[in-house]
Amino acid sequence: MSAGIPPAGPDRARAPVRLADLSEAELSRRLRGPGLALPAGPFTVRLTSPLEEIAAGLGLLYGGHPLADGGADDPEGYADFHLRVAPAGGPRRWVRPQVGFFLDGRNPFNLLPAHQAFPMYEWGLNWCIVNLAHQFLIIHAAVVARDGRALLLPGPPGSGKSTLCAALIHRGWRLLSDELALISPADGRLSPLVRPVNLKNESIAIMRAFAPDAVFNRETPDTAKGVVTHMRPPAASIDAAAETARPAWIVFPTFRAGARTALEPVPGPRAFMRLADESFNYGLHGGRGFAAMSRLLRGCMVRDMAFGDLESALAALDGLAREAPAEAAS
Amino acid sequence: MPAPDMTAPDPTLPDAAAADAETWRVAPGDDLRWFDGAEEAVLFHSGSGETHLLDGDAAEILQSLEARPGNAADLVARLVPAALAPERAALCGRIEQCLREFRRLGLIEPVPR
Repeated sequence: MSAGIPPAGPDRARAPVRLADLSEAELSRRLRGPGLALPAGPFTVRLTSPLEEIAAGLGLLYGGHPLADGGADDPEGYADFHLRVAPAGGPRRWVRPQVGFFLDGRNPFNLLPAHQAFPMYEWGLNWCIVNLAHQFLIIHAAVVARDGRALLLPGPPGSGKSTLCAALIHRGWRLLSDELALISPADGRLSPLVRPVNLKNESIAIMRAFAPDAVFNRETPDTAKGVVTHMRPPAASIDAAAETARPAWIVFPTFRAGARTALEPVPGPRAFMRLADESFNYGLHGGRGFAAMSRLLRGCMVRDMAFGDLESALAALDGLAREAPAEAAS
Repeated sequence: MPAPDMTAPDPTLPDAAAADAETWRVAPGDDLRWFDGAEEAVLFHSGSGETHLLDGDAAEILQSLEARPGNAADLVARLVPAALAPERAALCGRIEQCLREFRRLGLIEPVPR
């Protein structure tokens, strides 16, 4: 992190002010005071927090992100989500420190142990998007893209989607999101939500070995999901965060130890119902959601993929991506 | 889409004998939207806001009623015109069962006499 905000000038006129351009002291001041304006895909977050863990996590993982307000430091600037992660009060804080996540001053969650502050911010932001951003059809899926065409990896926790996503973005794919597919009902395109990739348990060691140059936050043990950490997104994905992508492939991954990697076609109606199950807000959209889901499936190849090892799964996905993507599900 | 309990009696529904005589239609004003596959179809029903997965036969029956009202015998004649008389009775029974399920889901209603 540099010592301060670079001075304005001809060269700075075109370059965005990134979080890494703030000194540690300035980052801490904004977080403790007016708030830090962070981009989160199509959304703007204004985050305040007095916690060192939050400042350290942001500095490590969001350093390449441009500040949403261009570095203006305007506390009245527009934000979609006004968030705060802060220590809980009361006498319990002396015995077992806890933190709370606040949206517009309200705490929608139970408190968590203080060491889980950074994951709590990431999970809390997911919750905000899933519950409030109904301008999108939102599907629980990792999304990566190549040449403007997107691969969706929908699946429940444990299916392997985040591990695959983390590996793919170190093999030439662009990160859109490790968790949430944001589909515009108007044009069917996917909006990037480039944020740190959440990894847990065995996936952490796998990715440390797979991408030794990747940057990881410190591991957080004893969460509801086990041991978790977050991986910094690639700079190229951050720089392309305004570029939407056309859905081209949908792959439902299932990790099974020892399984041979195999891709199998999924009939369109079955895929439709599975995606509706994986959607957070399909039902809210009514006929518009049905139309968006139909369009998504008509434009994508859809496959089930069982896999037992990462390399063969990546090879299978690369092979799929070389096939004509215009084949519709049927 | 919770599967309806077909064993529970429902006094609002016609019995099997009556269903054969009843003429059914998709409720006026309800919009049915389809995502068709080779063997199954997804249906969005604007009247309830529900999405249903239908097998091919059920989809064909409902699409026929969508085109125009009919009773079970009409539907057999439309969908399996070559069926012989002994087959028609069995087909009518299967279609009646399907119609009862459609009725239970609010997808069709009897045409007022």
